[in-house]
Parts: sequence; structure tokens; C-alpha cells
Amino acid sequence: MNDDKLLLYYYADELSRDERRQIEAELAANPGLRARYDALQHELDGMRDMEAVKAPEHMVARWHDSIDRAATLERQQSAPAGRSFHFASFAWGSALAATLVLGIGIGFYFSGTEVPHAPVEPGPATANVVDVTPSGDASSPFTRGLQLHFQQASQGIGGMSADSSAEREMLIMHIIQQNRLFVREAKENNSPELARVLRAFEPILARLAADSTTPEEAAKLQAKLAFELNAMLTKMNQPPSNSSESI
Amino acid sequence: MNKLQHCLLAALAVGFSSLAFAQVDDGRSDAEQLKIAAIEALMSAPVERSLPIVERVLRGDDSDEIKERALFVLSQIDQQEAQDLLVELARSGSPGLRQEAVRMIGISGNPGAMALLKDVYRDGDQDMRAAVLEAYLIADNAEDVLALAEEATTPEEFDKAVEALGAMGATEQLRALRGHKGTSESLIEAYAIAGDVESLRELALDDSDPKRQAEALRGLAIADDDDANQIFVEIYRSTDKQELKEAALEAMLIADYDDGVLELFRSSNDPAEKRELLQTLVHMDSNAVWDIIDSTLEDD
Repeated sequence: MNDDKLLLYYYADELSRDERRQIEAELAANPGLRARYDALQHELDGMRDMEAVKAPEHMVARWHDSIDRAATLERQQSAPAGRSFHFASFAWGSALAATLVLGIGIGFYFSGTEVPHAPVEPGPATANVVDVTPSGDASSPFTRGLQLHFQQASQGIGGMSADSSAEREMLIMHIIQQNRLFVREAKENNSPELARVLRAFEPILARLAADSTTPEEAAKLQAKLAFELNAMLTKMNQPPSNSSESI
Repeated sequence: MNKLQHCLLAALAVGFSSLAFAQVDDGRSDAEQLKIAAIEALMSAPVERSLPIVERVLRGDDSDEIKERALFVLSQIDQQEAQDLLVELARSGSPGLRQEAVRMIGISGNPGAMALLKDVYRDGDQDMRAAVLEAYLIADNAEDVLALAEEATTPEEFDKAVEALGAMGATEQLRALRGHKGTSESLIEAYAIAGDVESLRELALDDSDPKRQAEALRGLAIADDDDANQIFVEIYRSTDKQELKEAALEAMLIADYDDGVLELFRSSNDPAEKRELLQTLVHMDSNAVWDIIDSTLEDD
């Protein structure tokens, strides 16, 4: 039973009734699992008291303006048979934003908690690859949170329409905000290499959000960013190297 | 090596040598898509394998898009040979790729490569200079940007460097600049972006230059300083300069300080001024405006 399942159980989210019953049965039968869940529950309960990070006012003002413009445009246009406003993608974007906030919040809270894992020693074959795992610990909560951020940002960027829209701008602004939070976390986790990569994404995201960017330029920027996010995921997901596995 | 790695490296070899893939209409051929996937897979390959392949791509005839992807992989290889190649590519080749190589130098953060960026900046055009500033921002290298600002030969060059310092939150360097170059509009904007409310407050209360004071008021509102709200009201009340009153009102609008605007509305005896303040409250979508409208209409 991994922490992801326990998290979903805690938040009563995305689990079927059968899955919940199964987890409840395992918690009742397995004292070690129960202890793990209790510890997680205690930490997540503590997070509720944390103050939410307030978005800068000028960004909120921009979001409001974008929403107003989109609403005005929608009122002015007659609805065609195939509506251009994709409710599914908007709902997905909102869910993505909420999941990103959850991932960041967990990463923030756990970054102050000592996780008793043995450090991963890089093998000789990867000795010259920049180690982007904070303090060499591939399974730390910060690393897991960051992997989730890369994964979901990549999916969000990949699924975004190249045409300018209020929902697209909101998603980009949210990714920028989460990115900045992870930059701070990367510095606190002694991982300047990761901080640089994360900072490198922001100018691309800003150009994606700019009104002056054409759909063609936006498609290229999306492809570039998606590649870089996926490349970082590939790097972070690689197992500890073993010289017997190298070519 | 596991089966997946074998497959990916085989795809890499096929993609680089074959010319037989059909073009598709999405602007990227199957061969290009395969190459990009193979380059991504290099992130998990041993350095002694990935570096020669990346170098071959970068020196070959592939498209700039493919080469940009390879540059990113190169930025993640912590070997002197990789850094030397990045520096070489920052100095020669197509402008777009050179700028991308500069960006990658910022991502790699290698001190030796970073030290060469000031020469690239000095010899470069506007786009290359923007790329160097971006690389410094990525590497969080505020001191080098400060040096560029201090050595700037045109106002535009200065403004760009100052903008970068603001984006980096480099308060210390921005204050140092003020000491050396005086206070300009771009510097005040940079204080706002960097969140240096102390400097902005000082400028907002200094009435020796009303234009600068007005900029500082707007900057304070953008920097989201809660303690600045009373400054806005105080300046609005104390000044007789219309530009400053407008700046103070605009600052309250940006800061969403409707209580301040309401206070001014209630204390004003000038009908034109009251109308303007009421309009401001409407723009702010303040709840207080409905009580005012109610009582105003009742009085009639």
C-alpha cells in the first residue's frame, strides 16, 4: 500500500467504495500500515492550519480581467453547435490546479520532516550526470512532490489549446506559481541544479501566456516545455545506476 | 541494460540514419518525433553514451528544434567537455541556437561557462543580450546583472538589466544601483516587482519629485504592502497636485483598499471629487458603494 493510496483515502477522493473498504480492512488488519496512516493523518491535519499562499494582487487582477474578457466575449458571441468552450478541459484544469496545490502543500509540509531513507548512491556510470535529487535522496517527499508537479505540468501543457483563452492563462499562471514554490523548496533542499531548471521554465511559461504570442509560436513553446518537463521526469525516475546494466 | 533501453537506443540509431520516413502534415515528421523521443531517452543513458550522441546531433544537419532538445540534455551533463561544447555553440551557429545555448549555460550554472557570458553580452545584439540576461536570471546571478546595469551605455540597456534584477528579487543590487545611478521609473518598477517596500515607502513620502512619488505610490500598491494603505490616504489628503491625487487613488484601487476610498468620500465636500471617488468604489466592486447609493438616493 503506497502513500498515494493513503492520501486518496484521507481526502476521500477518487476511490471507489470497494477500494475504500479494502483499505479500511487492511488498516484494521495491519498495525504497521495503521501506524503509517496515523502518522500521515497527523501531518496532514497539521497542514490545515497552514496559511494558504496568497497570489500576488497584480496576478489576481490579471486573472479577473481575463475572466471578464472571456465572459464578455462569450456573451457577445452566439453559441455555435460545437461550443468552443470546453467544459471538460476547464474542469480538468481546475482539478489539475487543485492537485498541484495539494502536491505542493504536501511537499512543503514534508520538507521539514525527516524521512528515514538510506541515501541513494549514484553508480559509476552516472557519476557525471547532474544529480537533481535533493541531497541524493530519490524517495524524499520533496522529490515525489516535484515529480508529481513535472508530470502534471507536462500533461497540462500538452493538453492546452494553442489559442489564447482565459482558462489557458489561468492554468499557466497557476503552473508559474507552483514552479516558484518549488524553486524555493529546491533551494531549501540544497538542490540548486533543480532550482535553475525550474527557473528556466518561467520565461517560457510567461511567453505562452502573453497575448502577443501567436498560436504557432505557442505550439512550439508548448512542445519545448513539454519536452523539458518530460526529460526531467525521465532523469528523476531513473533507478539507482548499476554498472552491470550499462552498455 | 534492460530491454527498454535497448529499444530506445535502437530507435535512436534508426532515427538518425534513416531518410525514409514519410512526412506528416502536423509540421513534424515521424522521423523528427522519433528523434525527439530518443533524445529524451538519453537523459537516462550513461554519460559516456549520451555525450557523443548529443554532440553528433548538435554538429549534424538536424533541424534547430531537434538540436534545441539535444542542448537541454547537454545542459544536464556535468562534464567539462559538455560545458565546453555549450560555450562553443553559444559563440557560433544560427542566432536562435546560440541563444538557446546561452540559456543552457544558465541552466547548467557552470561557473566557467557563466563567466564567459559577459563577453557574449558585450558582443551580442539585442536578442542575444536578452538571452544572457535570462541565463543570469535562471542561474540567480544578480551580481553580474548589476555589473551590466552599471556599465549600460543606453537607457534601454539599463532598463532591461534593471527589469531582470526586479524579476530576480535582487533588492540589495537594486538599492546599490540607486546609489550609483539615481532613481528612474524602471528602477521604481523593479522595486515593486522585487517587493522592496522599504525603498518604495521612502520614495513615496519624498515630495521633492512628484512624478517619482506617483510612480512609487503605484509601486507600493503592486508590491502589496498592507502598511502602505494609510500612506495612500495621507498623500491624497495632503497634496494639492492632481497627478499625485490620481496616483494615490489608483494605488488604492490596485491595493483594493476600498476602506480608504470610502473614508475620503465621506470626508469630501467637493461634488466632483465625491463623484470620482464613488466611481472608484464602483470599479473596486466595493460593498460599501450600495449603502452610499442608497443613502444618496434617499436624500433626494
